[in-house]
Amino acid sequence: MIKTKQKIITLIALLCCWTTSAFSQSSSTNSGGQKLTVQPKIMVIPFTKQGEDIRTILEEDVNRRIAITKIKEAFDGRGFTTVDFTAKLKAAKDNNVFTSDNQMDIKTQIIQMSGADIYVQAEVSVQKGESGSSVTLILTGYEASTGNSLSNKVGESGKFYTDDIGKLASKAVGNIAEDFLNVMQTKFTDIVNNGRSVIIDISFDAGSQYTMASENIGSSGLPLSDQLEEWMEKNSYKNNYHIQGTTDLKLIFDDVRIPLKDQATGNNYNSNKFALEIFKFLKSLMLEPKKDVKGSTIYVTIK
Amino acid sequence: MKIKLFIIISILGLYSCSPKIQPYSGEVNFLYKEAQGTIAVKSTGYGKNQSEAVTDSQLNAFKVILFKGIPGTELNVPLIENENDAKSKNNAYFKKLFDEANYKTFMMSSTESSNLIKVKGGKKISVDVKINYNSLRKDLEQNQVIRKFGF
Repeated sequence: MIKTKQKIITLIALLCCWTTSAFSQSSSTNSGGQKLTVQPKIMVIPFTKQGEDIRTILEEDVNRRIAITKIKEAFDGRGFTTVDFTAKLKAAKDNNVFTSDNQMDIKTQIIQMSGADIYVQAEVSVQKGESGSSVTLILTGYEASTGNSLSNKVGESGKFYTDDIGKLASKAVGNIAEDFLNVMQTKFTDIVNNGRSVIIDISFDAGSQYTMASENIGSSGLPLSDQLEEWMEKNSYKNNYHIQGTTDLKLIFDDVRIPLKDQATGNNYNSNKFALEIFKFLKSLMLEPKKDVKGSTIYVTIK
Repeated sequence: MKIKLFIIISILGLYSCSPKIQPYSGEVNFLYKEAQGTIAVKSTGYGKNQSEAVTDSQLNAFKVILFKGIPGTELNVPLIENENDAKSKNNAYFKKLFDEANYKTFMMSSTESSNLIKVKGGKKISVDVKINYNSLRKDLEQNQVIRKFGF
């Protein structure tokens, strides 16, 4: 009898050891506890007017290519690697990603395909006159998912008697690149201190019996929209959130701050992990949610 | 009486131990930019003699670039966002940079651009200082005084 008990205990102990090792980190990827912050992916893209073909614009216009390369150089100078737009464009062409002739759609498709968090748009405009030629460059940096502006600068090359527009474009970039990056870095500091912004879109499945006004969910007796806001109040980073609007069928938080690092473990934190927290909360209310995460936008659908 | 005297001495003693931020002159003006990552400024310094005034003007140039920024230039935004915070967290770095003259390793040139002028309480001088701010920024990043570009 005692021997059987000992056997069972040994078996349980072995089972415990096996399950622990199954979830532990592989020795080949173990960094010894070192944790690096996940950096945003940045892509520099050209500005295109309506009707302009983004696919050929770069191939035909060397000045835009020069401007884009100079901007990327500035990022490299600060030890930051950007996503290469032309390489992504080529990959997209090879993979037949483009399905529409709409230019804006193609740009959006490339941004989405690249997985870039931030994109920097460069608009190059050339002025030629009797008093010389000049280039004006408009640089704008956006967060891809929220559209939050990160940095904006207008650069002038100054007027010169030259036909070397590429040189003027390069000069225009050189005049503002450093300042552009410095402003962007101050916005990054704000993100490090106050969290990154995510959008949360909560809606209902077509056949759902619930609405945002339903009071029979959970034990508080409050409408669902108020319960969700109370939860957001408690769980958004530094209590920082903004509601775009509430209707019976939809609740949109257009700016919810989440931390860059998990406050308990110090591991990297992202929108997917926050989506899981919302999912768990809705489950605790005995609801059947479905979650989708696209970049920094979380879509929750309640069945 | 003795106790009162002891308290006053203790308070004075503690006050002298507390870190104080030395004020520095903001008389630093942009001159020109020659190559990417460098900046030349005209800086004014004060001291008892020429050597002290020159050193003060060099230090002022660095302190303004580090903590204040120079409007209308690439260094519109200072290299260090929060002066007090950075100084309290990196005391040893700044001691080495300013007191042990490590700042000179980032100074490409320093030319006196005015005569030594007598002012109330000492002398003042203007110095044209050319700074390799790119390498200064890298040094700040390597010593974790500031974050690298990104999060």
